[in-house]
Amino acid sequence: MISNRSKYTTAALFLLPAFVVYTVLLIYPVLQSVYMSFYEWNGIASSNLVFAGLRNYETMFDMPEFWTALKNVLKFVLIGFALQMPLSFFLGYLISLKMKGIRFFKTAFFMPVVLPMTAVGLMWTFILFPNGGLFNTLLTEIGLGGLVRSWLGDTTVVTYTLPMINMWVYAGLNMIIFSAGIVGIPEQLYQAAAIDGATGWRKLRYITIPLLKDTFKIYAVTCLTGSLRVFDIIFVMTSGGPNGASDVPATMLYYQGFKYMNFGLANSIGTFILVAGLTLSILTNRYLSSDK
Amino acid sequence: MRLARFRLSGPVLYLISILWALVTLYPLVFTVMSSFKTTDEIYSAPFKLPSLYSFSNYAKALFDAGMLRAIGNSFGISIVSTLSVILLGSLASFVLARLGLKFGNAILLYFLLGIMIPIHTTLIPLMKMVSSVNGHNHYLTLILIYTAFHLPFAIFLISSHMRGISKELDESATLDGCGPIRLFASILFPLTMPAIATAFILTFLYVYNDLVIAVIFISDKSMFTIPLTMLTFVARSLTEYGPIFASIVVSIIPMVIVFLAFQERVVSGLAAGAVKE
Repeated sequence: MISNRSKYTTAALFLLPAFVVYTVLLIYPVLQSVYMSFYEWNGIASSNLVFAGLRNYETMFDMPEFWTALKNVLKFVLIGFALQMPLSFFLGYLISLKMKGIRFFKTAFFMPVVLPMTAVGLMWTFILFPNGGLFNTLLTEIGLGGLVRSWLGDTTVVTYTLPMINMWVYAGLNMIIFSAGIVGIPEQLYQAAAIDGATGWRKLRYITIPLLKDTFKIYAVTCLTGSLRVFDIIFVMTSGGPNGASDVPATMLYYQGFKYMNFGLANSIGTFILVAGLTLSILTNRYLSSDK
Repeated sequence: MRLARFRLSGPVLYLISILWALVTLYPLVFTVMSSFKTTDEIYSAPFKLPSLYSFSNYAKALFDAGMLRAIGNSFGISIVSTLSVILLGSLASFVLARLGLKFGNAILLYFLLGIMIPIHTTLIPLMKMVSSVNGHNHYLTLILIYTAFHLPFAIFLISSHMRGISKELDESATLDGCGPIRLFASILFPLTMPAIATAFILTFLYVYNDLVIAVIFISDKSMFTIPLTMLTFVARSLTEYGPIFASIVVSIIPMVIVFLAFQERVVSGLAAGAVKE
């Protein structure tokens, strides 16, 4: 065995750099954000924090914009469960089959996940341009001109457009999570069910879905926490607009902090994102495992 | 035999597969086609192939918009940040997975906690910290922040792989007079290569694709990364689409290459990252 003295020297030398960088630049800022959410600060590094008690939180909860942002998160969650989950499940099922050409499809379905969000956001912004954009032109050409919308310019439509683009990106990632679950189900269960006369949809209903409970739980947690953290796609495509209609907590934090210099408020939004995310993942984990 | 799973008939499955593949790939095809077209052509013939393949849009994107320099900046930052994550992460993983420290597990948990932290929560305190040391417009600032952000996941990947390697190896190596540094560098690091490669590719991908950290800490144009360059380019040339599409293509190509070259690692690694959160 390595002698104890050299063991501890090695441990200290090897561990310290990672420990220091991680603690100073990730853990400390998170704690500092919670702390600063109870203070006012003018953005100048050398000036003092002024104690504000719960005032930043009062401001936050009084802002209609904050509630709009939460509603927008809710739309990400809704589309995440109503459309993205069935789609990802189905894609995961598709790629678990031994179909010809499945490698190509798997690659195609996953491709959006690896692309830079900035490029994806700009690409879709141009495709969704109201006048002469590809999407509206396509709709008109196939005789669906009545569906033409200002996809990013209408304050209601935009709040559904963005989660759909988000789904375009992440369906491929969630497909992998589902396919991993589907492949893990023992073949004999299906064979036994077939002997008992179960047909396609009944197998899906009584074998596949119940046995994928853990996978659905994982999906639920990532969908909820992911929706709370959405930032890039909105920052790039709408900057939270028009008129703040598509803001989410993370973009609100950015604009309140770095544009309007309301740092106290921005930190209370940051603390909200942190606490809400942790609470949701703990609750989802507990709720979805206790009723087994 | 796989025939016993619940199934739809083949043609229906193919139809749906082709449909979704069109949805994921056609926007990219359209972007590539548009990157060769004039603005007029993009408007008047969006579905047609370009009438001629001119690279003038690419010249504008690379030189006028500064994409060429941005590529250099982004690659430089991404590679250095990734190497630093791998170095610090594998050293820490070695200690936590192999040395059997008393508080090893607690420290490992402390690192893994970082995977759950929403990065936007850290932005304002980070900005305060960086201002107090005049760290704006320094590559080192970005590299250190990226290192901190991506260490937890790298440590998760590398340490769980290192745990799986037989402990007897360490004992016999030590008996042969191998010190801890040699044990790490010439035995465990090479044996952990699969996990290290995955961590390397993923960290590179995350850093290359980052937007917000660069937006906050870089304002000097000559230091702009790819996302920053694209956003400012769009803001000032809203009437000329061709070069913008060309810049989108340029920014996408490296990621497509990384993905196609390391598909299995990228797919399984990103899925593991999503599941851990």
